[in-house]
Amino acid sequence: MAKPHVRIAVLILLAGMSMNPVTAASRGLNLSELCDWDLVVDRDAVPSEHYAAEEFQQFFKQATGMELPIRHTAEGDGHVYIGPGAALEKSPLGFVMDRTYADDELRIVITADNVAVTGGRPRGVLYGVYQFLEDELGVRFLTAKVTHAPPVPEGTVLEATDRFYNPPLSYRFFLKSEVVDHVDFAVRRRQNGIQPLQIPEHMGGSAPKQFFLHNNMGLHEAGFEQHPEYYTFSGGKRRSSQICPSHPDVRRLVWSDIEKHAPDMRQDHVIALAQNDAAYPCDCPQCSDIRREGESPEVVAQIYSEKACLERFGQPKPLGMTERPVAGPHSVATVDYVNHLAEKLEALRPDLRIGTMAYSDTMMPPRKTRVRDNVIIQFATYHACVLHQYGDPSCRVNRVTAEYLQGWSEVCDNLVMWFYDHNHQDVLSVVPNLHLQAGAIQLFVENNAKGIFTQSTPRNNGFSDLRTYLLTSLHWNPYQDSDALIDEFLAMYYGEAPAKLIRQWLDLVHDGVDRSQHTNIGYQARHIGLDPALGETGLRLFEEAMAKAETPEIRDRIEKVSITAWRLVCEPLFWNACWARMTADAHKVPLADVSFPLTDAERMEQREHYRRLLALCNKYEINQYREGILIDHASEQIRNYLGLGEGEEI
Amino acid sequence: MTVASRKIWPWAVAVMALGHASSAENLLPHSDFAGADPQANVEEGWRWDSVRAPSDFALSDDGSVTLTGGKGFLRSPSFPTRQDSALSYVIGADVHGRGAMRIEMIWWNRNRKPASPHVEVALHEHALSEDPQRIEATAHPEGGAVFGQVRFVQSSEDDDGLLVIRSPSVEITERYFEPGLLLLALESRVENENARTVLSKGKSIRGDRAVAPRARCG
Repeated sequence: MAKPHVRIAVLILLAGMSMNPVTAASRGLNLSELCDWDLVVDRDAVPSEHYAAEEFQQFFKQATGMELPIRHTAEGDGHVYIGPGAALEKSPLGFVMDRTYADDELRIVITADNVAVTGGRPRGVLYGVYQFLEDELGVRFLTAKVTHAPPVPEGTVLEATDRFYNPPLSYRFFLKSEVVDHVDFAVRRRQNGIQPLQIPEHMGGSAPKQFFLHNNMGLHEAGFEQHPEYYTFSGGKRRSSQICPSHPDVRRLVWSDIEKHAPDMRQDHVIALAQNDAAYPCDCPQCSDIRREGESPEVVAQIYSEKACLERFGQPKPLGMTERPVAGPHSVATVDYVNHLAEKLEALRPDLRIGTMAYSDTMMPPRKTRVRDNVIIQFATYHACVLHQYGDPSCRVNRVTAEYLQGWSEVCDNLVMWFYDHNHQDVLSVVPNLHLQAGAIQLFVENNAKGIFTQSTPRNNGFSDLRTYLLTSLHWNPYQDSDALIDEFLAMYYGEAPAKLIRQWLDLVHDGVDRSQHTNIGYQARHIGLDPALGETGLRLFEEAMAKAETPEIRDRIEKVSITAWRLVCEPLFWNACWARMTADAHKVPLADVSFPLTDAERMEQREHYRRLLALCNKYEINQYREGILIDHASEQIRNYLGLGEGEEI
Repeated sequence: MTVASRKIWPWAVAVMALGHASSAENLLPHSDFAGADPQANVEEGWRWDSVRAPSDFALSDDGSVTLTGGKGFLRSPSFPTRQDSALSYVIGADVHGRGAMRIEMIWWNRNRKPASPHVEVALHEHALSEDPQRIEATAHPEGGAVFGQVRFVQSSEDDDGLLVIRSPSVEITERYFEPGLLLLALESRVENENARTVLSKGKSIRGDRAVAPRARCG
């Protein structure tokens, strides 16, 4: 588990904190002396600072037993100042008000006589309080229902400090029901971009939205039937799946919409102009000309020749592309399109920005074309390999992913990541990449990412709670130690003894993966070499862990994640019933060649396992086995596979 | 295409020998294609779009444009309409080639958004011949159409189409109403004029007169 001082050290080392000379020589703060201190929040503080004081009061009391009163003025020493204000300004810690802070930036000053937790508006001060509670008192916001606030030992002394932290990702949105359904928890996990709920003002409000969905790049008028020329020219014909981004009429129509609505848009709004979630980017002569970025067709054809692509990208058709980009990256035409509109927008509303996607066919960055400052590129990692680190030279997929990302960072200062933390083909299993997520997010930050949206599994699936804790931690500070975060969560949420067994299960799965394979976020255990027999080991570990659970509630928490082992045990049944036929058809091979060979006895045994898995899913309100696909659907296929009669229960 | 224009199609669309004698104003800007760059991504000007490959175009020094291949569009710069339902827009061009062609009018409203109806087929699929001919078609925008553009559609099932266009024009003539349609048009006209009168007080509503189309058969 990461000790508070370790985490502070990480913050100091990596997050740009500064030490004020006053702290180095100061005595520490003995917490037991705080019984007659108070919390001081300015009467004119913003709502989130009043809320910050209440949050401090609540969790400080849980940890220390002391309820500090909240006041608006201060005399002498013995105060915890929450946010800026007249009292803080006059205090010995008034120097913290000499500078301005970014929206989410925090500053914590601890001396023997006073404490200041301050920062930017509207969220910095509130985040400062949470950071203080975590770093100094060991409080951990584990789930929406469970906060770990350990009793602070008598005589605990806080080291004097003056440190600040501004998260490198200013927009953070972890899409998971466990977060977005509980705004207070989302805020404690420092997620400032959750949707569809808006974060209320007293919790700091929502950061300007920087996540957007496919919207045909904003063309809502002039349909395909009337204007095929406004749509993509691909494979020798016009198609309705994407627009033609170079067409002047398309640009005029979309600008006309922007011009109409821009005056009413909230400050700092990002206007989404995103490609559809489909293939067939435009290859029309005009788009192709733009994509060449001033080079001759011959030169560009050479750059993206089959041989060159094979050498550079490891395959003739580069990662993400439906076709080899013989006229240059399709992203160039997209950037040209949004740049054109962004230039007009700057004159109309300089505070607004346009956001577009680098996804699939536009994943490959332009070679030269720079993205305007008022444009955000949302880079989606959909095609990246989940089994390897980005940039890993042994992984041709992620070597290219990292190269793309670096290319974008060279032409764009405002990247927002669309990241993934799930396996959309199997949401019940462990995704064996817990050790990779931190490195990925670090790479994003080092390549100009200013925001992140992470798409995760439906409610309760896999290790939902652990992944929520890990990913939201990394959103806030990607330079934290993933192992330490995982271990502290397991210990605090499941108890020390069960935690070791659960960790063992996680390690077994991670170690059991055949890392010579490569896959994006959609795969089956079979694809990555996970042996169903490993699931049996997992079941034994979970049985032991449940036996060691300290309370029935904790036992249930363990039982819930034991579903991951049950799912692996059932892999032969899932595969044979739901996937084998499709695979055999796709590869034109006999069904038996791609199926798990099961004897009648083994089929019966699998049926028993599946029955148990279903019961657990019912108990823990898990209703999907793939993203968006109900378990009932799997059950129907399994019933067919097992040849069960109508009305016969699995 | 409007009901009225569909009904008058046999009269309004005619093919005549090369050379036309109209002295009416040509509303179409840059009808000689001088300085045109139909591949440029600019809002105004002639614009060529490939619709089905193979497809290409070429500009000639003699003031003609040639579209070739499977299917392509040549769209004109926009021109302002008169917003008068008693007028017809006669689209003409000297053409020859292989395969087929169509003439469509694209109508835009005051805000340069699609007017309703937006695309009016003025000349349905017309088989091209190697002999040059002057082709003409008539279109009638609804009241909301403030700008128009002509779209020449070249197509060939065999992908070997050829369409040479020279001297395109859009001219205004008084509209011919088929018997029985006149009353409907008058009502529509009066409604439009009333609306216009409210906007510009003092102007009187003009009388209506149905006219026959000018003879075009050569």
